[in-house]
Amino acid sequence: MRIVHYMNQFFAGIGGEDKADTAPQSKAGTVGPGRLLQQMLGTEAEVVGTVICGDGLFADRMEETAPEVLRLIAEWKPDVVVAGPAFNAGRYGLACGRVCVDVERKLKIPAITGMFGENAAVEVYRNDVLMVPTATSALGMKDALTAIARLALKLGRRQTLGPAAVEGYLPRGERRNTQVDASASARALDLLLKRLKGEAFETEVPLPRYEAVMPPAPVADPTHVRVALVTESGLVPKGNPGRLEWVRASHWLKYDIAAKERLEKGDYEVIHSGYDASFALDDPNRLVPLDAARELARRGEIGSLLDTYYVTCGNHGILSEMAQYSKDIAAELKAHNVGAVLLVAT
Amino acid sequence: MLTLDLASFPVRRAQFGAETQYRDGELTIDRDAVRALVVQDARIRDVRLELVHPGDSARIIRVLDGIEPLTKVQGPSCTFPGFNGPPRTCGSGRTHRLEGLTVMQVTEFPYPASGVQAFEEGIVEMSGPGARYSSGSDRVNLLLVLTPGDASTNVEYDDAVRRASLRVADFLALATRDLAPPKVETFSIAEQTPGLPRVVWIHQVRSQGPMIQTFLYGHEMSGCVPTVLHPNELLDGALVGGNYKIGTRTPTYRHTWHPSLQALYQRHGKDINFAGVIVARGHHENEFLKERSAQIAAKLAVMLGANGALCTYEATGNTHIDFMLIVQALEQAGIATGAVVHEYGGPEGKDVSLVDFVPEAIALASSGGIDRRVTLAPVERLIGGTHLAHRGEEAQGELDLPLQELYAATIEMNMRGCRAQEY
Repeated sequence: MRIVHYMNQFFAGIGGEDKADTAPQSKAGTVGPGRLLQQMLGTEAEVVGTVICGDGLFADRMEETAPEVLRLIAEWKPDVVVAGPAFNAGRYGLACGRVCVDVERKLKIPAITGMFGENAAVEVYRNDVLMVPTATSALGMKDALTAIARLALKLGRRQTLGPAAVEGYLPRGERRNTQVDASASARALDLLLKRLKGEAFETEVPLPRYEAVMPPAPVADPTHVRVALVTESGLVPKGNPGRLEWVRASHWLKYDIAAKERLEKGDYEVIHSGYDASFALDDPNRLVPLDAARELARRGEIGSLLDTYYVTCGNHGILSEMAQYSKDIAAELKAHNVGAVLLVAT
Repeated sequence: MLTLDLASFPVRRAQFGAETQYRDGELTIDRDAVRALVVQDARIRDVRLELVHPGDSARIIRVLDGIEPLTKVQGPSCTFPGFNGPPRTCGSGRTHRLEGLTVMQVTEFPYPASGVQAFEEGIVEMSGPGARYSSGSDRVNLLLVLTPGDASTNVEYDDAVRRASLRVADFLALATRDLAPPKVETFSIAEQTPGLPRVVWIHQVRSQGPMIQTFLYGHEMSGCVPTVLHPNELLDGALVGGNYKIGTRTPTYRHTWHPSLQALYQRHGKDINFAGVIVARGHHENEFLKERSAQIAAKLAVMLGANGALCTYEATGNTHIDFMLIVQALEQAGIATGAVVHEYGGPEGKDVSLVDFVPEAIALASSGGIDRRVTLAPVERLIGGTHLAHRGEEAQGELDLPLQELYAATIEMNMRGCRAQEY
């Protein structure tokens, strides 16, 4: 198994900040901590080459430097690339992250790096790069390279990695289904018993962090504002011509209401299957309140009404996709000079 | 306090024959007798009986509930009380069960319905990659493939189907009445060991209305506040499922044999004192009713002297919010919780995994991500229709689906040890 090791000018022994502009270069065999890496890898893998670049140069001129580093790495025909570890060094961390991403995406070769959990590069690359957590400084070199070598060998053997907590790498933002021995109920009871005994326990489902959606300020003067009707209720014209799905909607739709004073019973159906829609079938205006909006416009209480309504289905919606639909709809509304939205949720 | 002897007769094969009888794991079923029990209700026109076994290249669609046959051979009340007899307290005496057999309802409804009252497919997949997530795939299933009769509404028809299936379940289990069971387990929580923590099980079921409901002693629960049951009442069928929402339903055979009940009984007298079951209804319409229900559930736990609560729930979305509020109310009442959640997160598990949470939910066990996908291989036998409800796809060929469209996937993933983990 052929390993290429990427490192900065400092770990290569070239110099510190004064040598941060060191140009990309390639050396046969190990350099600096590469000797320890080789020791950890044992006889199954060989560090065939080391590619070095100054942190300053890589950070300042990344778009020229990264391809050159990648070219030098590719020349060694590696099976696996190891970058760093970068510990808590910010620019070095970003360089290691970028090198790993390029190696995986462009060379289609597995790559691994290591850095301190709070290194700024972790947030940037954690979803795309395999990283082991390390100490803040090179004092943690041996532990870091032990973990890196173990995983590098697995990558080189094309073995599938287990969960992050088992293998010892930083989670990459992906939760996969796995099989364990005990039922979830039995494991929840185990967690409970640990709590009751005052023992340490770890939840299996970390609580998510949501982006808070703050209610906007009231519309200052609705009498001059164009209003649009938007809903996730799944109210669509009879026959569902846009094929909106009843769960996990893959798209949003818009329908013309220019010539209508109200939505007539029988012309619409509800494809959302999460609530009792009989009231809406009886009067579709209760989901898309065209009748009331027309009345408000007639009385001059709102400026005007947009000629289309927008609809998707919120049932079992995937959050990131729903967020994207909202952005797309909002962009269209903005282009049509809409100043306020009546958003009917179900 | 209730003591129940549960005698289990495992069913490994079933076949049709002249007389209904059980022998060494083989059940012979008298087709005509079963048929007569079903069509005695004019609301059902006809029934066709089919059998499927684990490993069969078979897929079943339009499945409603599934029931493991139970019958009361000694003691008060009956099994499935409220349906198969008066609503008298069950859970004591001796019950016989045909372990691993399911009486499974397969039917379309007579009248069109939309919104929440529309039928949602939950596919039973007997082999291949989907079988792992499909409840029923490891069971011998007797399918009652039904044709509606003189039912005036879908609700009427649903009632007829439920009652017919429970009659059949009792009839089949009766075949073991005079036989010596291979296995008898005695269930009791009367003996409480000093020094061990008292733990209740919060069993939140979904009851929203027709098509999405749970029955307690023969009556649907949408008007119920949380109530206390002895675990043995569940073993005897005090709860019957009538929730037909894709994979997030709990069929009756899982109410009568639930992984939470098993876990608690296994630990009873060793690590815990099992203090009882609090059955709560999920899917309240508004914040007021949600809070009211959560508060009552927590108060019952306090009154039962609970130190801890194992919390599990059926369904998702709205009901998940109810569930989190119960966890919060328990924690605020000083009762530690351990709770099971199934996760979302999108096909790759990269999105947010829970639709709602409370900061008190600090001890959660995962039963896996239910919107990850699986590709089902074409099958030789398709039962229940030709096309999938809702999706409209031809149902016999290859299907690419999220796990939650497999039958009772959430409860089965809990039971089989599915767990989402960070990668």
